[in-house]
Amino acid sequence: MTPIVCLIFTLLIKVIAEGRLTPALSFSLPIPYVYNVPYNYIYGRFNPLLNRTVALDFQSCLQWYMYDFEGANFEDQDFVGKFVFFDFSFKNLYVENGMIENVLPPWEIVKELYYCRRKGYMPQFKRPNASLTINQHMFQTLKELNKYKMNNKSREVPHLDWLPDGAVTFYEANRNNLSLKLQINDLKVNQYHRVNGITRYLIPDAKEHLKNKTKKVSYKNVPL
Amino acid sequence: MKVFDGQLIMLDTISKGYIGALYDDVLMFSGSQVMPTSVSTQAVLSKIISLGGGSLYPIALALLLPVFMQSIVLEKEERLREIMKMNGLKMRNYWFINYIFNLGMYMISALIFVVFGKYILNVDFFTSTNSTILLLSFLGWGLSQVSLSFFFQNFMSKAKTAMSKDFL
Repeated sequence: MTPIVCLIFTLLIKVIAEGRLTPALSFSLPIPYVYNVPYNYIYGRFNPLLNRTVALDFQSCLQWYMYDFEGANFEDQDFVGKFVFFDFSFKNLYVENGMIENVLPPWEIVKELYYCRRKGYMPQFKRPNASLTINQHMFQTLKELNKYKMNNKSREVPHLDWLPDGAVTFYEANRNNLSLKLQINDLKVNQYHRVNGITRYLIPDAKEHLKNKTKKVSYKNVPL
Repeated sequence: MKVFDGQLIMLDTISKGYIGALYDDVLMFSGSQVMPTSVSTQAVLSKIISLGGGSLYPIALALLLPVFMQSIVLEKEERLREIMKMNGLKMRNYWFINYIFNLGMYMISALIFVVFGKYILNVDFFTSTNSTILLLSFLGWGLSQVSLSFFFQNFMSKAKTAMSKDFL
């Protein structure tokens, strides 16, 4: 009899625990995650049109990539183009004609993004110094960043803007062929990723948002 | 962090640029939508409970051990074994019958235990384990218990103390 009592006891624990702990959760994103849209204005803030705060929060506007050529001739380099910089004070972006120009959003959109205007809107392209390759530049930058102290609560390591979100090396770029290598920031530490929606975004605590839509909320990091 | 998303975003960036360079009148949009996902902690919970139960069941089935030992020590204490010997009982038969009887009792108990767990209460430990393995494990556990009770009875002379010591 005692063994059967043991069995029933185990079963009772299971039933009680299941009742308390396992409401089956099912979730889905109501809209597709469309790439390279200025999500800063859609996600993470109280949206008066939708009358609610949407799930993700991007806190950094800066997106920048390194680009370089390897074995590409001058024609290929011209095809890619040359990115110079955004000049927000004069409301101009300096790009020499090439495919990079098409990557950038139209200025009409850029100028509407007040939140991002001072910080530099996405995406920007920079070439490494002539004496360095992309990887050398990355390692140098990371060495520098590692010198700065950071505590667990830090959202980002200081001077994270030195580190690109990714890098692209063009081997060949013309109307017939596009050969390239993409690299993305895949460091394991959260603090080495900008919260710009490319490799990292934050999920606001839903319960706190429901209580108060405007006050400061705590965030949860999405695991790698 | 979503490195995989980052890769796709960057790929989209470059693709946009390339398509734009080739075709003036084409605007490319790309994105991804997560499939609806269902998460339940039930499977994990069942495993934890099965693990806890798995360590509890052998103890539950070992409750017959004191009974086996008490009966043997009682026969020794009350000189019943000596009387049987005087009446011509061979010790070989005595131990054999005791062994079979005790093992039989244990097997009936284990069988009821398994039937309840598998068919009535549907406990994962029994439903997910191969029946042969379960049977062999319980048989081994029973054999070792009967043998252990025979071994320990050598050190006991009183039935009451035998039972209490065996529970310990």
